[in-house]
Amino acid sequence: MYVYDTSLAITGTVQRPTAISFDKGIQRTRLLDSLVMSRLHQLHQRPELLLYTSADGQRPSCSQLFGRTTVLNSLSDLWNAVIKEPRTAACFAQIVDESPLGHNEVARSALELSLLKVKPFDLASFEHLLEVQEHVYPVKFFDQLMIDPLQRFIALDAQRRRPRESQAIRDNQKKPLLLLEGCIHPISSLEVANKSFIPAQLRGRDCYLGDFRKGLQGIADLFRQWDQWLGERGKHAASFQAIYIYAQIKGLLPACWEELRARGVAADQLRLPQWASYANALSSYWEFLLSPHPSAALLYIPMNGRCHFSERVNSQ
Amino acid sequence: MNFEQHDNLLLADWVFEGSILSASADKEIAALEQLILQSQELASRGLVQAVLWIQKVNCSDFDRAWLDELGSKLLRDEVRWRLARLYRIRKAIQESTIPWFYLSEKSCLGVMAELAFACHRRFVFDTETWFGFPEMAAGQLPALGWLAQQLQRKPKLLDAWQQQNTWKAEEAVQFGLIDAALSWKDWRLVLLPWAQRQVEAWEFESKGRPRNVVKLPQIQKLWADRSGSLLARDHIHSYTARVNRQREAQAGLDLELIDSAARFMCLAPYELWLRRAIDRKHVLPGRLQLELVFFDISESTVPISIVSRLLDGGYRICFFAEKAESLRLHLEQTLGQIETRYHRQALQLFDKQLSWYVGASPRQPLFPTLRFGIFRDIRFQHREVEIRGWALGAQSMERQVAEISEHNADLAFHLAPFFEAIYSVKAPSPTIPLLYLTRSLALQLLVRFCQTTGESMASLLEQLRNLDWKLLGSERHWQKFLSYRIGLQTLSQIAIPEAIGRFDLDRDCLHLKDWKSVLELSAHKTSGAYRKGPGWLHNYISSLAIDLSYELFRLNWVSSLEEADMYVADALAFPSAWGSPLLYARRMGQRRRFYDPDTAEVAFFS
Repeated sequence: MYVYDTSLAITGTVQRPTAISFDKGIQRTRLLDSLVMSRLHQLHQRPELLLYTSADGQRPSCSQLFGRTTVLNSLSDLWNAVIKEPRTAACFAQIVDESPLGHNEVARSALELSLLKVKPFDLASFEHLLEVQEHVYPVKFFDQLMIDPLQRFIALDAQRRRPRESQAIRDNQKKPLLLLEGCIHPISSLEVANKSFIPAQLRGRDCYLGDFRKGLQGIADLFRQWDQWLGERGKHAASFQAIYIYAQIKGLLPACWEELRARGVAADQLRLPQWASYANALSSYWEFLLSPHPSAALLYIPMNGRCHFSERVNSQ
Repeated sequence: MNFEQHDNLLLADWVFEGSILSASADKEIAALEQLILQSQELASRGLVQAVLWIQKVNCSDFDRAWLDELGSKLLRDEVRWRLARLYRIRKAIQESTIPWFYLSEKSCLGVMAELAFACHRRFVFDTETWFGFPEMAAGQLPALGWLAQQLQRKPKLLDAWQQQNTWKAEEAVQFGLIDAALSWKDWRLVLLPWAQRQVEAWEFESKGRPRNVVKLPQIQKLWADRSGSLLARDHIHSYTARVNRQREAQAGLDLELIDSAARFMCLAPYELWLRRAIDRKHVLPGRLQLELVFFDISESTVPISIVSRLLDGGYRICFFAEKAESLRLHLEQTLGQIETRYHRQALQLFDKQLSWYVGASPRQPLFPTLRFGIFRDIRFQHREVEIRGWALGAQSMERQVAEISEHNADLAFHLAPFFEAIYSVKAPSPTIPLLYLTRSLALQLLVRFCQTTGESMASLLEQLRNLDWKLLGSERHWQKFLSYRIGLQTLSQIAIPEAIGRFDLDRDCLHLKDWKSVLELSAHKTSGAYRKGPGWLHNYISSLAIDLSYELFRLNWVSSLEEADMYVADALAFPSAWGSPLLYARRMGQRRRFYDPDTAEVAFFS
C-alpha cells in the first residue's frame, strides 16, 4: 500500500525524436549514457543514485559514476527508491522504443476484444479524444540522435550524408522514440542545492478494485473513490491542468473518458500515454512528474485492479 | 589483519595500507601466517572449506615509510629475510588444501599483487582498479616466485609482461590474472551466500583434480620458526639464527630469485624509481581526482594527444556541442584519430569511456569542462572556476601547452590533466596574450629576412619546414594568425601593439591585414647584411628567441629565465630535437645576432 505526501523538486526533459530502429545493446547504452551525461553536466550537486529503465536490462556504462544504480521494473521500484529512501539526488533516464506488452501481442488483443464484448462503450467520442491527443503532443522530428548503418550511435543529419541509404532507412525503419531524463531533488537539500528548482508537492495513494480480467466493472467505482480522495482537499477533476491516464487495458480508456467528460474535463486536459501501444507505466508516470503544468494528476489502472492515484502541485 | 570464521568460511580482512615489505607490516604478516596455520588446522578437521581474503584498501609498494626505511637503515639481509618469509606465505597459499578466494574492490600492485594472484580464485568488484607489478618497469622481477613459476611454464609470457606491467581490472581478466571483474557496489551485502556458491562451484570443478594434501605435522614443521621472526627486527642479533633457519628451509625456496630481488631493492636505482613514483603522487594509477571530463567541441576539435592522454589515464570523456552537425563533424574526426592510434582491443575498452550529447554548455558545470576556440583559445569551467587562456602550438602537435594570465596562476592545477605545461605569464594587457606579441615578432623577423636576403617568402617557409620549424613554416598558421590579429584589433581598438624588446624590426608589419600583403611587403628588397641559407635562418630565429627570453625575464613577465626560455620555445614551436633556444646556444657556444650585422658571431657567454 502506497500512501505518500512528499515534497520533491524535479527537473528534466521529455523528448520525442525519431530514430532508425535500434539493433541491440550498445546503441541503447550509448543513448542512455548520452541522456544521463547531458543531465549530469548541468547539476550543482552530484547525485548518488541512478535510476534507469531499459528494455534489454543492460546497465548504462556511466552507471559507475554513481554510488548506486537501480533498474526500475515497475512503479513500486520507483517509489521504493525515491520516496521510501530519500537521498541527496537521483538521476533518471529512460528510453521507450518498444512496449513491454505491445498491441501486436496476440493474447492481449484477444483479451481486449473479449472485454469489449462484455460492455461496449461509446467509441465515437473516444475517437474524438484520440484526435485531440495528436495535437496535445506535438511530435518533433529531430535528426540529432541517430545510429548509422555501421552500428555507431552518432548525431547526424542522415538525409544529407547518405541520401539514398538514409531515405531507405526513413521509409522502413523509422521509429518514434520517447526519451526521458531528469533529476529528483528532495526538498531537504533543496535550499542548499539550487534555488531555481521549484519544489512540488507530490501526493498519492493506492485503490483496490476487482481484477479487470474478470470483467470491466469497477471504473465507476474507481472514479467515485478518486472524487472522494480529491474532495478531502477540496479539489475536483476539472481543477487540474493535465490529467495523465495509464490503463494497461486499452479497452478501459473509453470508459474513463466517459467518466471524465461527465466531470467536466476537456479533451485537451487529458494526456493519454504517448503512442498508446508503446508506452508503459513508468514512462507515463515520469511524463506526469516532468509535466510543465503547475498541477497535474495521474490515474494508473493496471490489469490486476490495484490502481493508483497521484497528484502533483507546484507550490509557487 | 583480522580474520574470523563464518560457518565453513574463514573471512580475512586486509586493512594494511602501506607496503608489505616495510617493517610496519611485520605484525600483519604474522597475522597472515597465523591465518594460514589456522586455516590448515581447521581444514584438516573438515571445519572450513574456503578462505575469503578481502582486500579493503589499496595495496602497493609506493609507501613513504618503506622508502625511508630503504634509504636509511635497511640492510640487504633484512629485505632478503622478509622476502623469504613472504615467499613461504605465497607458497602456502598456493598449495593450500582448501581454496583461497581473493576479493577486492581496490587496486593491488607490487609484492602484494603476487600474493593475490597466488589465490585460487580472484574476483574484483570495481573495474576502475589496477593490478600488476609496476617495479618491472624499473627492471625488477617480482620476488615471490609466482611470476617466476608462470615464466618457467611459458617463457614467452615475459614479453607480454615487459610490454605492460600494470593492468586495469578488465584487461587483467582478459590476460587471465583475475577470474572476474565487475562493478558491483552491493557485493558485501550478499557476500556469504555468494561465497557459498563459489565454494560449490569450486568443489564441482575440482572433482577430478588431485588435491593438495598437506598433513598437519608438515605444516607445523614449516611454520615452526615463527617465533624467530620477531628477532628479525634486530638484524645483528638474529643474523646467525636466520642463516641456520634458511639452511633448513632451503628446499622450498628459490633463494637465487629472492637474493637477486633483495639485492635489487637495495640498489640506488630502485630507490630512485620508488622515490619518483611517490613524489609524482603516482600512488596508484586508478586513484584519480576527476573521473569525468567534458569537452565542448562546438567550435573546434580537441587535440588528439590530450584525448589519448586522458583515455590512457582512465578518464571518462564526454563530448558535447550545441549543434548536432558540429558535434558529428568534430566527433567523427576525433574518433577516426583514436581508431588509427589504438589497437582494436584497446578501442573496445574505450567504448565505456567515451560518450557524447547534443546540448548547450551549462553556466557552472558540475564536472570540468574544456572548450577550444577557433584560434586555439581555451576556456575551462568547473563549478564556479572559469579560466581563459590560449593553447600554444598547433592542434596536431603531440606536446600541448597553454598560456593563462597571471591572475589565474593559483588555478593552474585545474588544467594539469589536460596540458603538459601551463605558463602563467603577465601579459601587457588582459585581452592580448603574450603569445600574440611573440608571434608578431616572429613574423616581423621573417619579413625582414626576406627583405635583406631577397628570398621569397614561399622558399623561406619551405626552409623552415625542412628545419622542423613546423609552426612558423606553415602558411595556414600565418593566415589564421593574421585573421585572429585583425579580430583582436577591431575588438579592443589596438592599433599597433608595442614591441616587446628593442628589436630593430619593421613596424609596418604590425599593420598588415592579410597574407597577400605580407608577401608583398617581404618582396621589397632592402640593404642588409643577412646571410642566406637555412643554417643562418635557424640561428637568427634562435637568437631572437634567446633575446626575447632575456627581455621577458627583465620585464618580470615570467618568474625565471628558464621558464621564459621554455615559454618562447613552446610559443615558437622550437624544433624539439634541439631542446630549447638557450640549450641550443649553450651547446653551440655561440649565437648570431640578427639585428647587429657587424657582430654576426658573438660568443654566447661574453
